[in-house]
Amino acid sequence: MKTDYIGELEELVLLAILKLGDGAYGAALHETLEDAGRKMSIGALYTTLSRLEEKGLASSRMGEPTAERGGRAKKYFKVKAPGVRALREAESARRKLSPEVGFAFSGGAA
Amino acid sequence: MNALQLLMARRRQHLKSQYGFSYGGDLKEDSPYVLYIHPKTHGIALQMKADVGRAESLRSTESSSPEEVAIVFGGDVEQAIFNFRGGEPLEVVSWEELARECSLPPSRPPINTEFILHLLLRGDEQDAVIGDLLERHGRKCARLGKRRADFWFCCEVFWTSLPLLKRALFKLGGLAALSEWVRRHIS
Repeated sequence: MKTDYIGELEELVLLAILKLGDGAYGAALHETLEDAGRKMSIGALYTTLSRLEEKGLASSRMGEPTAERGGRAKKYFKVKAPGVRALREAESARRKLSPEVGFAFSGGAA
Repeated sequence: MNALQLLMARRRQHLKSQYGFSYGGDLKEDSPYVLYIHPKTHGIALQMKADVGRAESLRSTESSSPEEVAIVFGGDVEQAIFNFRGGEPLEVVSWEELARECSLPPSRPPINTEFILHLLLRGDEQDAVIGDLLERHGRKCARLGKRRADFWFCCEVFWTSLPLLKRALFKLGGLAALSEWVRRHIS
């Protein structure tokens, strides 16, 4: 079975999509990531999103145009099953490694 | 005049045309305020610091007039404005809705920066990316003022253009390599 490895940014974007649920579109994702302390341009966010779509980890659909967006439509994103699996794998890998490098976080490696 | 003051100026105009009176007072963005208008006395009655709970109590105690209007500014309550009239349930009005109600034109960023994105974005991405930028620009405008929002927009367009430009160049490079390969193998 093919394993989908994801980068840190991809992981954060997938988590943000999951957090926002049905309201996961570009501006909301950008704001959520910014609130989480991860600043990036909207362009960088969209290149990550299109990479996630190419990998089959996320899907998108066009929403309704709104006046505040100058009549432009929103693009909503959703995490697909392989995306959830990839997140679980990343989390489990981190859990396996964390106890062994735990001293680094507590200042032991300094 | 910042976006909030502009919005309030529009709101005052709207009330004046609708009720034949308006109100004054300074507004601050950092703390919640209530503006309380009493149409029967034709004037502004109160302006006080308040929170949503206070507004609720104000509504319950002084809702004798069905035309009472109060607007609550919540500094950190998602920039929401609560607009209620006596006897009716509390209605949440978003900045965008209020802007529309006051016929405030949607905030326009510097057009040239938008044009750059038109050149770099794919058709399906244009709506989403430019729309997101406009939406965030509008919110920043209300929060920070037009000048700072415009500056933010220009920076954002610059940083957004870089990965898009890289992608476009990568594609151009790919096309050039492909045409070179075809040229070599055909000739």
